[in-house]
Amino acid sequence: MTFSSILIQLLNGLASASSLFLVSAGLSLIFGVTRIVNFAHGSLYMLGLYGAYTLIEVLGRTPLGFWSAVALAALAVGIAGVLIEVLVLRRVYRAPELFQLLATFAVVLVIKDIALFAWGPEDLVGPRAPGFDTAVEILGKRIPSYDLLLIAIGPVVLAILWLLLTRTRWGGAGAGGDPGPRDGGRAGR
Amino acid sequence: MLTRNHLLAGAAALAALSLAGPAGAQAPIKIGELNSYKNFPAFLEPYKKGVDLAVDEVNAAGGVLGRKLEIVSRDDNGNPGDAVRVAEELLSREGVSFLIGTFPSHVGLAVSDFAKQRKVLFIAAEPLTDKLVWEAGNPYTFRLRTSTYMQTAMLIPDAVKLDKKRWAIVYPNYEYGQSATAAFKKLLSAKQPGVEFVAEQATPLGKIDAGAVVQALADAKPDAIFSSLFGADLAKFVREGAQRGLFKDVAVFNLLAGEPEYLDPLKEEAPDGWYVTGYPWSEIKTPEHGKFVAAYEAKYKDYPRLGSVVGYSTVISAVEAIKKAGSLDQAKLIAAMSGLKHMTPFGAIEYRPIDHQSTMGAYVGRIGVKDGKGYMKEWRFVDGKDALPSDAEVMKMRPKN
Repeated sequence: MTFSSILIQLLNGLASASSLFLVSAGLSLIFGVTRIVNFAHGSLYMLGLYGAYTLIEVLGRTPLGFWSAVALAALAVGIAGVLIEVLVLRRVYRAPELFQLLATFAVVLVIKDIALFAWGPEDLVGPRAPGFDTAVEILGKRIPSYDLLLIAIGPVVLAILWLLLTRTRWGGAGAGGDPGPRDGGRAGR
Repeated sequence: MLTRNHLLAGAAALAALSLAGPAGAQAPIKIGELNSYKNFPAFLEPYKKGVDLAVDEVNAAGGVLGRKLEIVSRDDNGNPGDAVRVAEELLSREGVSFLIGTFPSHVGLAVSDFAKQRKVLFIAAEPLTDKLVWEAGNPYTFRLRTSTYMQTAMLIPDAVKLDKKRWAIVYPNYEYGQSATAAFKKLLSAKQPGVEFVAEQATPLGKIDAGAVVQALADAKPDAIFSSLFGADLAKFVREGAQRGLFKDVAVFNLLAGEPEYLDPLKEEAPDGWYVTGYPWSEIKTPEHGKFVAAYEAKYKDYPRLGSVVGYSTVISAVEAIKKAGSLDQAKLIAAMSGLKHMTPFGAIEYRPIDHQSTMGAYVGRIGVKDGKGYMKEWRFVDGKDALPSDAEVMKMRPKN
């Protein structure tokens, strides 16, 4: 194994780590505020992807269509999240952990079947992100520029979250202003 | 007071009731079907449609042995333990006559072993592993679909012709992928002595880390690649490989990649020039296939996938076996399956008495891209019986019973 292949595998690893961070940041934030381990967190990500795919087909495969579809899908999933909080989580805040897991696991199954019903059984391969659909050559090896974008996005989101939680009233609300469920845990803890 | 005798008498009365109940001869013949519907919907939804189409046709033509046919379907969660539990439930609670179905190879093997314990017929629809009819073969299990050995053997002539020296292999790390890889290495080494296998990547099923896998393969500098990836793993591998330049000047062979359920999602990214097995459904002009496509499209307003053909043909096999046996007796059914011949949308097949493998063939060709869609070009049909090893070899592999 040469130095360049180790470097490329390192970048691959960073890109995966960054996308995992993006998923888990939300999970941990929700756990911090509600003290519920949301089993359905990944399902919401899946919904977001399917939503983005459909919106891109509707808005057209242009850079504007792609990026606005991504933003709209994120918003829509946010609304779905609110609905789940109101309809499901609110009812189980004071229930034993096992029931909380059971309730959110039920949401997983429901969303899975909704997705199968709405988007059909076939795998859907979305378009590549415009502007990031090529590869960059590093030490004679090619790495998709989208991977480099992912590596950059992770730390940026981390910084924004940190600022929001520690330097704004919104972050403080999670800390004490909102009585929250149970013990009013600090957001993102 | 209730005694053991009372209970027994009650049970006997109940049994008598249920036997005499809905006019014996008119009760439908029930066949148990189990599959990993939620795990592999891309293949299995069309498969289920094929099953339903066959049941409709059989019942419209008067059923089997004068009785209606009923398929009782269950999801096995893509997991051997659940599959065995579901199979048991189908037999004991639903009272089905025998079992058909399954998709992933490890699940197929588990149900096959269960069929052996319970001494019931099992017609495996799609599990492709060679073990099912050879090393782990048993008298109760029969398989419809063209196995990994057969599909690999169909691709070997093209691979040998290219005369590439350095081969890299990538496969989903479970029974099917392992079986395909073993068959490929064995067959290619036999035909082309001196061939080198320079890299091997076994990826978790459905969870390929495509970037890392592509990079590892590229580091080995192969002249050619043999892959048995399918579904989402295949799509990710194709995209990462294309972006990272892995396929430049490298010949790629990929089992199953020409099947519409896996090829169509790739759209304009379909990898041009790959050697694949698959199903060029729109270009097959045989009368038996034309009839099947017309009926399928009339019922579902959708084109058939390979799964549709497999589901449809599996039910036809089951029905023909019952007709030939003339009863639902296990011994007679198994005797009837051995050497059973019937038509499928892919032409006539026979369940070989020697190993219970059907001679269903497969389509072999290359992937092309036209109007932003992948399709199979330069394809040919290879009859399954021409892609199997000699009887002596089969006898050596299959346990004596």
